[in-house]
Amino acid sequence: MIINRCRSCGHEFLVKRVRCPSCHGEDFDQIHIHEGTVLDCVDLIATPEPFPDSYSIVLARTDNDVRLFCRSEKRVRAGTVVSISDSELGPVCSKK
Amino acid sequence: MSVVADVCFTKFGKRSEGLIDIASESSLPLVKKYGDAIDFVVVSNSYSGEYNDVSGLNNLLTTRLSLDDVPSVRVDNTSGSGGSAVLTAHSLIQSGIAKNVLVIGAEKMTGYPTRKSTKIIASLLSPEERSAGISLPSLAAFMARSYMEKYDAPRESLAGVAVKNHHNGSLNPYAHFQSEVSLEEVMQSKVIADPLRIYEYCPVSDGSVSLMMTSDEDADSISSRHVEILGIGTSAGTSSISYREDLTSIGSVARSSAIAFRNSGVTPNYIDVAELHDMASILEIVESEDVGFFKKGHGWEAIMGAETEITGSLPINTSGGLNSKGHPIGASGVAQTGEIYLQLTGTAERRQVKNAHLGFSLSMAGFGNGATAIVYGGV
Repeated sequence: MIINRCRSCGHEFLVKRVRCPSCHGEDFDQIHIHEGTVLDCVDLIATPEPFPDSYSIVLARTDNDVRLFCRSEKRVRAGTVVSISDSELGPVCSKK
Repeated sequence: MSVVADVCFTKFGKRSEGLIDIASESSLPLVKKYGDAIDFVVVSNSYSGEYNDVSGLNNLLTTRLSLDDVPSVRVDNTSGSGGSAVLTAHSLIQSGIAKNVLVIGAEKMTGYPTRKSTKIIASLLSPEERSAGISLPSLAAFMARSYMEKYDAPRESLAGVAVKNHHNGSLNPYAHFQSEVSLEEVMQSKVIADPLRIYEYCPVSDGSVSLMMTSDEDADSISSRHVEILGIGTSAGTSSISYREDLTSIGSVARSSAIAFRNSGVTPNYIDVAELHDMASILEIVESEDVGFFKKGHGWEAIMGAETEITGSLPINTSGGLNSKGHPIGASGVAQTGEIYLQLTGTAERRQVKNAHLGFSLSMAGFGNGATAIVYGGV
């Protein structure tokens, strides 16, 4: 999973921007994230197309305090460290 | 100062008619009353392209109404389109660009499978977050879990919002749902996004509402019953939901409400009736705190204490709210203004709040991506 890091101030964030929300810098590096710590997890039964009929959504935090969402086949508890990878549909995670 | 001089609703729910037919149904009665005086039309609609294969809805609609030469705009601000449309009409009147503005809120959403509809609505989320499979209902579930844990709120307090709003909706002839639900029924209904259940979410609905808005100088010549907009505030929040540090509070709601109250000279404790954006039960509770009606972490107690029922000290969502009245997206915020108009003019019939002099509405875009707060009075 890719996040963004501002070359001027080092601020990291998930959603692409052309101007850093912290220092207004305009140059960024893309960083690959491979793991995070679960903050919370929700089981979703009514899901949007084109995703499966049910899954869990995980809100996780990286070591540098970037929060992000990813999908999990199984429910995971808060505090669990998860591996994050990219699937065809988007980011997925599983307990390490 | 601008005023709301009249309102006309269609029935909300699953409608067989098309978008322009539904929008015409609510607006034609006002055009027949005020036709020549209307010098601007503001159309609140968010998804005509996605659901109805229609663009330029505002101009198609003015032609349908034989207001061919009347200027118009379509306001799209997702779920908050209605509040933004009222703000636009208010600004047109305040600036002198228009004197008498017809505001038409309309959406036609039924006819698609729920999963398709959920996908369409989730398109307001950033691609990086949407690709994780999140939906608006799932964000409400995160909020519910955080709120209950942080403030030790009982699960029943959230379900109580749905019980109250279904009762109110049963008193509203325009509401999508016309029947009450018990606490047990809510708690045993199908889980949509854990812990929230189907009765705690608004349905997918079709519907339309139209308002006649004018300046206070012209109000008496237009209508004998009008409600003044005493103050209006609007604000925004990041579309990146994960970027928000706290999911138990909505910054755009707090900021827009503070502006509206400051502009009106009214404080929240003087409000007699309010319409909030209850796409999910938890949102009504969180918003009731962020607006300033209750201290942070205590909104759930108001539900348990029946304070927000029609006979309570601060009735909220007397219309049934989005939860029971339905949520035809472009129509919802306009309908909130319409409900406050009915309440303050004493014409809300079976759901009339006694001695309602000051009203409030909160129209919210996305998941707090934007908000428009309005304080009403002057009747």
